[in-house]
Amino acid sequence: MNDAFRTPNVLNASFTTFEENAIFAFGDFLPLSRRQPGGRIGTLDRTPRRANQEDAMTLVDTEAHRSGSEAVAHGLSLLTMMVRIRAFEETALDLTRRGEVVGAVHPCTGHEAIAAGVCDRLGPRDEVVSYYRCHGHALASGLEPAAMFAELLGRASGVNKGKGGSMHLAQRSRRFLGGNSIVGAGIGIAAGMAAAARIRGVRMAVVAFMGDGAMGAGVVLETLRIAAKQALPLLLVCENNGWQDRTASHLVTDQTPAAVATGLGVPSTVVDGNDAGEVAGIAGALLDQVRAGLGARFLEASTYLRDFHCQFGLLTPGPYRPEDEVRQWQARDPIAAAGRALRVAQSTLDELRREAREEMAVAAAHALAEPVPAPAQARHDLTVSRW
Amino acid sequence: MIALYTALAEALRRDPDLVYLCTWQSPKFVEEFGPERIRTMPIAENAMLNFAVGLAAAGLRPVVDLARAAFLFTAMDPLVNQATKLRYMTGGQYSVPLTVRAQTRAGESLGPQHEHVPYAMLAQIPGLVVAVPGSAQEAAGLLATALRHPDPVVIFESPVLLAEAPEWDGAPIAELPFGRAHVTRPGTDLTIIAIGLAVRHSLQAAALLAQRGVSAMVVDVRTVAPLDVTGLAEAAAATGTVLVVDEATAPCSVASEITARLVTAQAVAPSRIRQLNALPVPSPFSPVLQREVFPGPESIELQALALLDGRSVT
Repeated sequence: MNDAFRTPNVLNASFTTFEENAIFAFGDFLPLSRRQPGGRIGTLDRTPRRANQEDAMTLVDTEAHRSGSEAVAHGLSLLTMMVRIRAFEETALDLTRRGEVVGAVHPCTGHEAIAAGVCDRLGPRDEVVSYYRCHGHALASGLEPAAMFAELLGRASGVNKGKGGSMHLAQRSRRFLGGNSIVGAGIGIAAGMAAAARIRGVRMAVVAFMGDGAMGAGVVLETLRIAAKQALPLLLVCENNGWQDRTASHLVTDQTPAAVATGLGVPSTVVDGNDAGEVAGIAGALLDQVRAGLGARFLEASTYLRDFHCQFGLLTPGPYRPEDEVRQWQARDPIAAAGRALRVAQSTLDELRREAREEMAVAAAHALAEPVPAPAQARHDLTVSRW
Repeated sequence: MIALYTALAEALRRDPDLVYLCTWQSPKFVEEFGPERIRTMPIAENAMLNFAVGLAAAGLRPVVDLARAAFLFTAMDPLVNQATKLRYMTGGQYSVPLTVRAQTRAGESLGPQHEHVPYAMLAQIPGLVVAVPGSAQEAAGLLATALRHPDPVVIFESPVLLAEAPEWDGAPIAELPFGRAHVTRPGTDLTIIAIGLAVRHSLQAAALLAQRGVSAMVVDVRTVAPLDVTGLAEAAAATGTVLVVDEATAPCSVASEITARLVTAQAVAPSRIRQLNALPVPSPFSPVLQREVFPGPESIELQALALLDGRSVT
């Protein structure tokens, strides 16, 4: 038997390829906002991201290009967005426990830095595809909280006219295709949207969010290979919280999301998903590569759910994760971390939270006062065919 | 080039947003329209169909050639949960102008996994147009309509209809409306309502019946969803005797739906309508076994004569 055909040689060959595509940490060579010195607190920017974003075609915008005060203002805008997302989720959970919101709510509490950081770098033509844990992505993509609450409440004025609910918030005018309750399906759809950009020759990116559980879905693995081969302008953002529903991910896989994506040909980067500044910096650099036509990129953001997978109606899940694990991640809460990095006084943070809660309370009250859809609306929006 | 590909080429020339996805591409089409629009995809139907939904959501018009309908089963989620839900779920914000082509069966002895006629399954999906043309010409006309339709359409083509299609002279393809059945052969003694390949078998049966002095009308359902209940009821009432022929098995079949609708509409008396479906087994390999399972000209003729005589045939 020829030794050349023995398994170890084959393994070595594949490892060489693996190293060529190695997972790399941008943090090693990109200055990060959290390393910027703190300073005075600037004016809070509440403007939805899409109203004031920079041109999609600007070259790599690292934090190094910002002056100290600009960096602080930017850090504060990320912090403000995170605080608003958390306030939205806490209000949504409260409405669910009061029986106002029916069905399932998947709160993104703990994941806020990823939504805030990635969406901070969206260009005017970029599209966002989300999954069922979509409230944070929606808010950070510029959706109005009142219309989001109205959807959660099944009101006619909801972003989906009450036909989608919490898992499917979508607003085309904000380029937010929205949530998907089939794990991994949105990734295939996002790839098609990215292909559309290629076909039309439009310089833009499609950003698709996913959980790490989606890495087990065949459609995601199939799509990664297509995205690599067709050099699609696609940024996949994997919110790796280590759990799929109430099952620890290590019970079902030994591979990290980034390793799988890299192995299928999509260059991958791992980032601290609880550091909004780092997420924004790296997502910005990756989006520049994607828009420049360099092909798809995969960002694995490690994070953790502060609360739980899902509030289903009045049913709040009991503890299902190891206590010490929950505690360790609590100490790394993305909002508290941003506050520390920016050296924001506790009173200022409290004020931000109070304002955000007030904003969400007003939005929720507005939505609660909205009318429910006319029952006959159930028949509409199916197709333009005679049906 | 046959009529169906003429319709496709016409649409590709007219509409720059049309994108064709398939695991194998015609070199002629790639040459004329380029590899970005005539896109070669891996054998990954689930991803391919989701990809098409994304193209459509972004405003393009994808056509997915799944080759065999058998491969649709690995892509049911994008069809059932994505393509046909996006418009409704988003309150009408997005539309999915997607056309899926899938070949059914034609006695090619490809075995139980390859020969399928799953149109009744899809007819359960609200808003999805399910076209099952009874001839190559109708396949072209229905495809032409699909390529302007703003919502998802699945076209089930029997491979034999395309294989035997004559060269088309290049004249523009007339679009055929969805939800309109078509009287393919006039007749006065009984109405044979047929779907897809069964239309061809029914026309052959009608020729055999004519030799016995029986005048059989043959109606091509054309789209099983939306179903032309009004048109079918008129055709049924015209003769008062109806045989519904369907290559799919009987439970919850389109034939059962047609029978129920015609009887409840009082277009035909319950004793004057019968169904001829495939036996409830997979499509076997041996041609002898296939003839036992699926309706063919002879079994249709036999059933028609028995129905007219008030006899039963097992």
